[in-house]
Amino acid sequence: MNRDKNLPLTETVYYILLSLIEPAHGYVIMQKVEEFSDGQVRLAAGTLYGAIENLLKLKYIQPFSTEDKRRKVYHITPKGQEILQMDMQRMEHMINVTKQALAKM
Amino acid sequence: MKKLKLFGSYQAEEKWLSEQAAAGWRLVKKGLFYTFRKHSPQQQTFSVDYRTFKNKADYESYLSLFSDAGWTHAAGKIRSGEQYFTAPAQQDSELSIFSDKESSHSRYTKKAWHSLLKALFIFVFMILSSLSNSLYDIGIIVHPSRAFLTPGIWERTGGAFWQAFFFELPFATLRIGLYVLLIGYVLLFAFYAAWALICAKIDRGIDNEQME
Repeated sequence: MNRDKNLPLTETVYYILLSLIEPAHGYVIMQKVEEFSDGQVRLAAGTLYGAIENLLKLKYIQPFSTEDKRRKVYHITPKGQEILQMDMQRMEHMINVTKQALAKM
Repeated sequence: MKKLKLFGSYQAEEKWLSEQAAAGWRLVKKGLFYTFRKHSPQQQTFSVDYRTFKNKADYESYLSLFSDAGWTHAAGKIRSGEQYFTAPAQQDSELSIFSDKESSHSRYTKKAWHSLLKALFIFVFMILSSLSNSLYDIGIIVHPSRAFLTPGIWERTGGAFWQAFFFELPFATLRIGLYVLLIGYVLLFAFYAAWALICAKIDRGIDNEQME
């Protein structure tokens, strides 16, 4: 089976998509990513903005209309959920085969 | 105070701007010149982004994200490309608006493409206007005198010549200015494309090291 060319997702992209399961604006994404990664992934504003633009282009996320006019809010799309799930399964597979291989040692 | 200065890299520019802030000059505007205002000396970190925006809402949302993250927007406009951000310098860590090399390097790629697009736009405009009804004479790069369209201007003498010359000088300057702009953008493109290529090489180099 041919794998989606956008897989594997980078750690940053994975956490951004995960944090957009619920609608959020830029700064909330930064905080959630830091929280999800136990402080391992700290996104800077410029890097995050570029990543958001890229994810919008890929249609993995979409704008979500809210009262706040100054801060754009984003939300994951079905396509984004699908790629997130595919990447999770890829990692699950890696974990399973690694566990099996290590158990034999 | 206004200053005109060109930099080989964004990094060098950021460093220079911090030095200016430490010397008591705060950046308030950047067009062709840097405009500074006298201020108390401050330890500030500068970070330059390169980005253009489709509309005002996008630009505002972008600026909000940076201010939420603790950055002050010092200079830049919706279509200026370069956006200047500043934050109080931290002693223990190096502050940047980029958390990975790729996004920091993408500034050069974007700037290179935009310069090429602008050069192409001017070039097409020049060609079309020279083809349509000789509005524009593309030969003026070889014969600058042809930037003046007044018939027989160069045969005139004395007051008649100077009157026609100064009357048409602004238009002639514009016509030659288009060429200068075109050459400028081509040079900018070449420069930033070279930087983008070097950065791409550095990125690959890092990947290779990680593989080994």
